[in-house]
Amino acid sequence: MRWVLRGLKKGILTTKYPKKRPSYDEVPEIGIPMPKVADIESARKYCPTNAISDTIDVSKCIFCGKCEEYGFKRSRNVEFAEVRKSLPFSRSIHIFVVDVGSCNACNMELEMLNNPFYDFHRLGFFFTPTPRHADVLLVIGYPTDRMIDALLEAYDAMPEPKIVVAAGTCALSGGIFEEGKGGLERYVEVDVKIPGCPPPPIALLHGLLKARGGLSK
Amino acid sequence: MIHGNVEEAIKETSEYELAEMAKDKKLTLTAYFRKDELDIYIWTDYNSGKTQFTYVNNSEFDLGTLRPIYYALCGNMDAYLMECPNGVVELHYGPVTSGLWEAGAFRILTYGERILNVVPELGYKYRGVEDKMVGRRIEEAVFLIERMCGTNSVAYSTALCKAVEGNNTPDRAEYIRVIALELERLYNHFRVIQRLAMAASQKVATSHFSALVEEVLRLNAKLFKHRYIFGLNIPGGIRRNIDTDILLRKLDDIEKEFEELIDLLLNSRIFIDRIHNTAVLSKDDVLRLDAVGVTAKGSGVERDVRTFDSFYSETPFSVALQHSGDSLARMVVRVEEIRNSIEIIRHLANEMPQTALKSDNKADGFRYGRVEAPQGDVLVVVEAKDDILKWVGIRPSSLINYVAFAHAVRGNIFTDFPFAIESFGLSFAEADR
Ligand code: SF4
Ligand code: SF4
Repeated sequence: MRWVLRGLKKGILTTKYPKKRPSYDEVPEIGIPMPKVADIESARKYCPTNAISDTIDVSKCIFCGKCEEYGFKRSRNVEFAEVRKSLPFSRSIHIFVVDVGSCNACNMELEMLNNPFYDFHRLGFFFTPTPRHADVLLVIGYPTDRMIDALLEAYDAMPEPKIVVAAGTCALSGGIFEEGKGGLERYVEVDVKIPGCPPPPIALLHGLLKARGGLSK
Repeated sequence: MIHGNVEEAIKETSEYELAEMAKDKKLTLTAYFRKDELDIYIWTDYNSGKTQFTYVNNSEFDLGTLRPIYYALCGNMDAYLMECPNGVVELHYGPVTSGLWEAGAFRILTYGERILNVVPELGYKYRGVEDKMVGRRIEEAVFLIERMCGTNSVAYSTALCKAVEGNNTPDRAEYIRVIALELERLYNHFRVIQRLAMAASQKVATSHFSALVEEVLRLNAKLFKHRYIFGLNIPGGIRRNIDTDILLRKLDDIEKEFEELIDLLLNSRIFIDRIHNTAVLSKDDVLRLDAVGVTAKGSGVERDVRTFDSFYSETPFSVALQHSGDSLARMVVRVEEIRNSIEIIRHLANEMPQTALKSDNKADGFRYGRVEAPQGDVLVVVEAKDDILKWVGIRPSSLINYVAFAHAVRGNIFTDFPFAIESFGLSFAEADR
């Protein structure tokens, strides 16, 4: 009974996203770095993943903060998901997660989507324990040799239509682990890319909503 | 945060002397590395806090017969496999699992309901962090080590930075580092409790503890501009200052919320029944298997490198100790550590000195740093010259404690597996590196 009462008290904490912009509590200055009055040349030289050119390559940025030493400022923008193909329906979406070599922080951000602050079930998203019922294959981590077969097996087991979502810099480009090999795209076609190291829950929500075609921007 | 020079401390031993050390119960085998032609063995005396370095020239010595943890330290988990007797079923669990588990696997032998043997299988998360650090500028190597195990990023980056620093790191940097370390401990411990509650299908408790984890991550984001505090450490100090007002205010809320929740959870019979007497690790097991951190403390063995850290002796730090060695004991250790971490953070935030955040404070050579990460102590050994790493050895706490877990879960029934594994708070990302 006491648990239930606590449950009610908590209900009001759930994010208003995507109806409203993310609050400062949800997303402070943890977003993509922006050149204000910046020494772009030095930043480019010292960026550990060569993410800086005329723009910031969000699939390479590891959010390390190094470029802040050269005048870049962290923005509050984490909505950078890129969609090539979304699902052809907008009903509930079942997500099968495969970790192919993460540092565990990406896993944890996904876990957080279940908590009352984000409660992503309310938006019709569910993690599923089997690829056989999944619409989305969500991949996190730097693809290690030993995980590739398992990844492809999971992909093959999924019914059509299906899409692949890569979340986190490791999966997108290899990030700091990269050695000229790139990320997940070497092994499987990626339909939705959610940048971040790790992508915070709001960024994940943004990417998933776009993957469903439920967010028109 | 203990650090020092390996070069000055390391001694050559014969194989005979090595065996004598392995028989000495006062010494814990902390790490084994192979560097150049040398076999390096690192020992800890947890009574005095002394780290001892020994090496043997090109030996074939199998230390595993005296210290079973040696096999794990060599990366030879197969040494713990058992033959599969008649009537016993062999299962392979992983590396893709249901839920949001990490990429990792277990080889399990079971008969009927009971577990006969468990061997963790590593390699699915092997990203070669140590090798990739070599040849890099130290500052960049910090970015790598933070991303080896993101949920222990402060512990590892601090250990690395301490290893390559002299004794003149500014006070404020040390204060903020320890605040970050203790915040990391808080969210990791909350998460373990959340996962135990989840294993027991305590839905409401699960979501409340998950919310507590989120509260700490949000606090991290405001203070450090990163939810997992990546990017704080640089050799010689830290990158950002923090706002102690925000910290102190939020800490009060977190503490209040935690006390209410833990009171409810510890009064839930159904929950306690599942973790009481589950996966018992005796004091002797800890000594024999060289277990560290929360795992050791839950079995009545005081192993916490903060004890020997002069920085912590100025804070309200105290070691949490339990004796029953079961999942409940490990959880109670965490509960006490949460309370203690909150006290430590509060103390430091109130006493914060006004100094610079970093200094030019390099120390070249063959050096080491040790830090008490949330689950146990971690060790980083490096050889550095002119800001470049020449050699790196990392000894993660999970690598050691997987072996302790595997031993503790033997004889338990299958449905206890989640309560066993979650209570150890292990991470494949960390063990695999
Ligand atoms: S945050 Fe780091 S990785 Fe991202 S652009 Fe700046 S320097 Fe490069
Ligand atoms: S993207 Fe960053 S947070 Fe995610 S697994 Fe890679 S290193 Fe870890």
